[in-house]
Amino acid sequence: MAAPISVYLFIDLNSYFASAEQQANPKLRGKVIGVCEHSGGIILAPSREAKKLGIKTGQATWEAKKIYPGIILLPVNPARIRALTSRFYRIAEDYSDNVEHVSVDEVSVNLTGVSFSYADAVSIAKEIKQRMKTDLGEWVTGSIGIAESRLLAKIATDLEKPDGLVVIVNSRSDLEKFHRSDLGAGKIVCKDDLYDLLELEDIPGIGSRLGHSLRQKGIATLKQLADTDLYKLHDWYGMTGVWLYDLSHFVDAWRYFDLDDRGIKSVGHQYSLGKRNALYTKNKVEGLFWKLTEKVTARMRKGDLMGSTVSVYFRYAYGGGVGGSRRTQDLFDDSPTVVKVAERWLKEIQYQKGITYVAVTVSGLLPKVEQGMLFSKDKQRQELSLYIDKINERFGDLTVKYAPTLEAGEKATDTVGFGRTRERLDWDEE
Amino acid sequence: MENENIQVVASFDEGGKFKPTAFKHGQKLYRVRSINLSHSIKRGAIREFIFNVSDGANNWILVFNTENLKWQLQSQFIYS
Repeated sequence: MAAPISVYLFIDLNSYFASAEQQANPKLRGKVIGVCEHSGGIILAPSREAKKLGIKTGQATWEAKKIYPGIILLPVNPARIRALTSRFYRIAEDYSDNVEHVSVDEVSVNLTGVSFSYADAVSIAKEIKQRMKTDLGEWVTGSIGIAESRLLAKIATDLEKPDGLVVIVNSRSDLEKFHRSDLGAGKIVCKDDLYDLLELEDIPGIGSRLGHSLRQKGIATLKQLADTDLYKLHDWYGMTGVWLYDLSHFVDAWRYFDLDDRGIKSVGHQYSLGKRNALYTKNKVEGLFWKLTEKVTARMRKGDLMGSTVSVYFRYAYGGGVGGSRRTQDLFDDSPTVVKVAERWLKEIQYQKGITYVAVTVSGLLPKVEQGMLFSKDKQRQELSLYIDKINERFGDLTVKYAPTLEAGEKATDTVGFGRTRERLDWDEE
Repeated sequence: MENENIQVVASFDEGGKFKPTAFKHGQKLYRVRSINLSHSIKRGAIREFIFNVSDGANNWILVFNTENLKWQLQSQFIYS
């Protein structure tokens, strides 16, 4: 039997939120659409057709309308996304015990010991594509990358979109060998050729700011970065420099994946409004803040977690903002405590400047332990949260809520994040 | 358009899975030609099954509430 080789398969769903809408409603297929949280916000996911016109993820809806006035804007459908993501994860998990849920639309599947050649991995990739068609729908496609590491496999997914299948091999002799054996993959690329194919920002983890900084130091290409002395990079950027050096040599030191498995480190919610929808009154801002806080603490209680640090940020419509982090003496999992800790920043807000972004995060999380509350007031507060949770579990989220939350109205309703989630997902099972 | 209670013909298979096959809306009977996507959600303790279906000409959202056993035609929302 052949010795096991390191094989990773990475799947990245194409224009996921938009494709899901097009799957549900065939009349949207082939059209320029954008999925957004609310009409005055940003485009969370442009469709493939919108991307072709230059509409980007994260772009303001008014900018997208300038590019294409006929763009169809749809609200994100969290339940639908959760259902599809659960199915997507399940497909991946059928092929390996070692699957990382990198984000809501990305998984890394370690096929080492499962697949003994790249040809095996390509067969698995083709089967996965077929299953995606059946389980997710014909319009929800994914680009699949296969390589010796997660980083390279992820890079491979970006080389052919949509619906790509790309293998990155280590050497030219491998390339020739695979071309001869006809793997059946869409594209086979040699690792060394990546230096000619990729820009600095094509490497996951190198964003526009870091790319700009590197260019200012005379490093404009990936090859130049790889040829830069490690010590020089360390002098410039500290540990980030070491990490950049590794990335430029395609060593899997990708910060994206450099996450340990200690569980959830923080729980946070945020909400952004366009300048036109900025909030100018104390009641409105506090209402939104309470609502986000309620969502954070409800998730903490559901996960049996308590936190010790509150971080908040309120951004003004035209630059600047108020916020910070504060650690508390006691662990907590209730909204009134979070609001009390955040009081100093709430008092600092200059409401006439208008608030367009509110974020609240609780970190320093630990498994919940029953604390003997010294004061009956604290005990009552904790019991109240438990009863509220019980009612909301029966009748739906935020059926019972703290009064200031009412001011938030329909803002910050249910949503689904793009990022990696480590909570046990209570997502749809058919 | 408000959500509206409707009459639905559904089929159940031996594995317990079910799907709508036809529905009546505004005195007209529509045959379900394709189910484009289906999923379920929980509203509190109540589970609802949501079917995005096509009758060949139009797309519809049919929702089955497992508590009151009613089918509803749900409106589709698009930002103007």
